[in-house]
Amino acid sequence: MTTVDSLVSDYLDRLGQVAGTLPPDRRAELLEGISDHIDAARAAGAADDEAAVRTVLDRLGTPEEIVAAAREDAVPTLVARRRGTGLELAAVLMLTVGSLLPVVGWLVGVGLLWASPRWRVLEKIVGTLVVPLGPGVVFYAGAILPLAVISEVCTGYPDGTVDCVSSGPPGWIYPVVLAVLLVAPVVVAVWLFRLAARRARQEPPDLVPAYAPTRPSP
Amino acid sequence: MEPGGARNPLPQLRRGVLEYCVLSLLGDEELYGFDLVRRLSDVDGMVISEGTIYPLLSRLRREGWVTTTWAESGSGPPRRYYAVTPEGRRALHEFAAQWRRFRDAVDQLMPRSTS
Repeated sequence: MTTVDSLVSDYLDRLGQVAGTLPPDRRAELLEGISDHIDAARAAGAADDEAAVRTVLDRLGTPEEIVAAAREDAVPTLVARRRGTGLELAAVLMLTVGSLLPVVGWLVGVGLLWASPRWRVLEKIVGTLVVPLGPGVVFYAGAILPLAVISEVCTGYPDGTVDCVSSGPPGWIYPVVLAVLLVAPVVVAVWLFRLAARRARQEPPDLVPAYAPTRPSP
Repeated sequence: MEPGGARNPLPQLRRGVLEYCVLSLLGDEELYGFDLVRRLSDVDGMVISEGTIYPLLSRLRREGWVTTTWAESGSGPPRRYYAVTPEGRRALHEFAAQWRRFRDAVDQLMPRSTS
């Protein structure tokens, strides 16, 4: 082993030690890169000339400098990202307007409602049970139910009189009940969305890498 | 170490633009590490420690801006060659446009002579 060889192997040993704090694959890649660099420099003329090889090593920088750079590059730049309230908005929209698509729309809304981490279980239960199947079903029922329920039974007598007996509760109660059943889910939806929006603002942002690695490390 | 200490903004500036200089060099041809590093450091003031380019290349590869291939060299063992990817090229062109604006803006504000 020449003086120059031991110069190089000392340098690489020291680099290997200092790089011990890097993830193993980064360390191996770094050592390989630097070692190839030195070989290439020697092949390009530095060869066994001690002064020339020392210059090559000086230009590379100290192992500490190189590993410090590697450490900075090993930690991806993190950016703060907040999840929007799109999920929650979709949930409350499907629970209300979406329920006009009978059953399916409301079920999708319930799914989204329970998928969001921004509501507590109790709130989810309220959102689900306020009007099962949603205001859409009330809307359709409003058109059909009064006809079905409010009925009059009339009996004609031979003397020409007609005696009508209407069954069911008084007629005014239906519009009121329907209005309540239509409005209640909307009120609950607005309440739920405002809760979620407030919690979204209070959440700490997620720190995610500024770039997504697009290719796996070999 | 460079003069100027903590107030010297050049290391930070250099760090910010170095990767685009690497991409730009790779834009014309595939290069192996040693060649790339030497071309960078042939430009006065661009590189202080040549060894720090390797971690940068490793990051660019992980980001998908650079790919590497092994190829036989005329003499000696095979070498790892670096090439810029389409994404890397896109990033380079975006940066180049921003850089021209930024450079012109700074030039407008700096004193004309260095005396």
